[in-house]
Amino acid sequence: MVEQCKFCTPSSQFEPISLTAGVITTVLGLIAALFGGGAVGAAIALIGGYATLSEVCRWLRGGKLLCIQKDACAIGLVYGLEPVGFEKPFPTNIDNDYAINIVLAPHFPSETETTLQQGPQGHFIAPQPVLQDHGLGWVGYKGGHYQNRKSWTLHCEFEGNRPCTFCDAMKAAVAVAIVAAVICAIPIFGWIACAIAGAIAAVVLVVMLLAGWLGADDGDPSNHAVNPGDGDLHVPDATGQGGDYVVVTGDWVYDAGHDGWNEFHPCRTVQKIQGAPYWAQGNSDAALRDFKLVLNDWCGAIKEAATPLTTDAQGRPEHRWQFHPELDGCVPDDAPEPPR
Amino acid sequence: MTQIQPMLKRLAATLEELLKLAAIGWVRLVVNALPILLAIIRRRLPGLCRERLRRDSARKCMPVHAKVYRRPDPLIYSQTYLMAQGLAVTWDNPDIRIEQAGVPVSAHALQPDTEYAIISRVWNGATDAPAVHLPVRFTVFGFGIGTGGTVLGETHVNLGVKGSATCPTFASMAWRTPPNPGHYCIQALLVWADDANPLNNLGQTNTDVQPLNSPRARFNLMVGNPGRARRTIRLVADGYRLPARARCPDKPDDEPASRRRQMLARHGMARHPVPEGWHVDIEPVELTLAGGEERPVLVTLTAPTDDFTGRATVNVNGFAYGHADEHEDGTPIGGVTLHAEGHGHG
Repeated sequence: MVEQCKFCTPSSQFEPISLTAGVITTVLGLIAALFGGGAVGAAIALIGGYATLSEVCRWLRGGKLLCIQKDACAIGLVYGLEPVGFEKPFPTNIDNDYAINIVLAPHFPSETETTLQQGPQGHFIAPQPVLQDHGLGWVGYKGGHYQNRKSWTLHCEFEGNRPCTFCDAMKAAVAVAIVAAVICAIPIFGWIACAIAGAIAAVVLVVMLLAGWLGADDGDPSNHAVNPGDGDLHVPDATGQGGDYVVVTGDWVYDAGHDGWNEFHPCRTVQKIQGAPYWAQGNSDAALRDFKLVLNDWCGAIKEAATPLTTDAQGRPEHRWQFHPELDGCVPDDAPEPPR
Repeated sequence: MTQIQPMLKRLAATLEELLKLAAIGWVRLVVNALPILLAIIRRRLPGLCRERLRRDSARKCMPVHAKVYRRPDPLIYSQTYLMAQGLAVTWDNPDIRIEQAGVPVSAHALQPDTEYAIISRVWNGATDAPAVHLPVRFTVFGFGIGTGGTVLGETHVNLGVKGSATCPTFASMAWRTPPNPGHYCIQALLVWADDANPLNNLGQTNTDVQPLNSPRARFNLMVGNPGRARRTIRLVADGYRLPARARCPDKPDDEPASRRRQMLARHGMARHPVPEGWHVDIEPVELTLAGGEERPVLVTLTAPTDDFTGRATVNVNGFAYGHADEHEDGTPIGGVTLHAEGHGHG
């Protein structure tokens, strides 16, 4: 997991990807360069390339993520695991997120999409009115994959940062190339200076391309030394037993980079639920009603953890004990003398 | 025309960005990108060969990074955990109490065949992970060290994060004492499999009060070997009492090593001898027991004078030795806190 570098786009600012301007400028520049424009044509082509790159980067860094709700919370059974690079051949693996797919509680994986959409958390996997505003399609997400079982699931992506590192590196490389082209376009520098600048720009381009791609952090801990705080998530076995129930939080978005479904992206936190499912499962009225209480308890407690009231309290000396409040805790100055 | 306008707008924005880049911005971008090269050498290349292995779709388990993964740390005043940290403990557990009709009662003064409420205070050491529907299991024991007990039952509580309105939270269970008079100890266990620290989940209250009689107070207890293998149990006495919480400093020291030093200075095991002038006789002080075996032990506290007035407190802690897994200083297995009361008339 890396620092967040992709942010969803509010509906009012959402724009589909458009590469036309950049591509046309690049082509015109290349034509000019080929037909006697030389360095000036190359500079125009590079400007067009930069514009194209900027637009791709805008899209990858969150332009494609249409915000529905920030900091949403959901509970479900981990039913599918998608490691980094899953079903993403080059170059689509510039997106190096990894993901889990969860069957929203209290439903069974075997239930239909319509049934799941009518459940207490069904809105997460149902088309929202905001999609119509932008003419976006809907297919839903049927994830799972283990032993060819699939179910309608909420797709939750943990963020990798390749789109960001690659974009930063490529922008730097193109900027250097433009500087080289400008040097070449100024007659007083001559061809030797132009060649040196061109060689430097070429090396920078290759190095940055490799650095931006390979240097990205997947966020997948299997690529790193094991951290004591790392967790692991399990899907059910062949008998349907042993899958983890989790509570996840993240931004609820529609990802316009896919065929059409909602997801949590980025998924900011995931926590296993002890003893789950301790609620009635299925689609009965009692199960749906009881689960709403479970959902309120979990999501309420997680929300409470992030309120300013709680985070401010955590910063106060009386809450900074590490072993036990009676041992290394303290009494605030304005509190009455503690009884013993 | 409506389609061309946004294109021209975007191109103009790109040109503006490029002008800035060409002037100075590219230097910043190159400098920012350089650490990525180091990242390749340091971290990325060894992982490339494993990348193919990570792309299987039928995996049953996947690691999740600590920055995303949340684990609560439900905890209680856990004597065995604290002893393993080198700290002295009291068995008069500040997180467990017994009440009758809402009024706290002493664990050593319970009436037979009477309804009580056992209440456990539960904390969370985690600042970002609550423990909702946390099972708290209560067990009742006879008075002693390392002896077997009977599970009373389990209740559930919703525990918020540290600093929240629901931390601490209180677990409560009704308990009817057996018809025959006896002396009982209560244990509370917080059951949470995916716990940031699973070692601080077990707390026990285990106390007795006896009057001084010319000038001795005698305590009878059972000592058992809770393990399976034959072990030697050594009993050690100290005079530790839980001090009042200190006033908060203006600038708390959060550095873990420094905190630990302060903890050892205040609560360290070797720093709390039995009260001055008191003599503690434990008979026998060392027992070799088979797994599950229990034997009686007599502890005698002798006051410095015949006319002692007040209450003296001594803890007797049990440590197991002899098993291959055992720590060289012994594995804490339990203990009792003994109070001797004198009224000044020998």
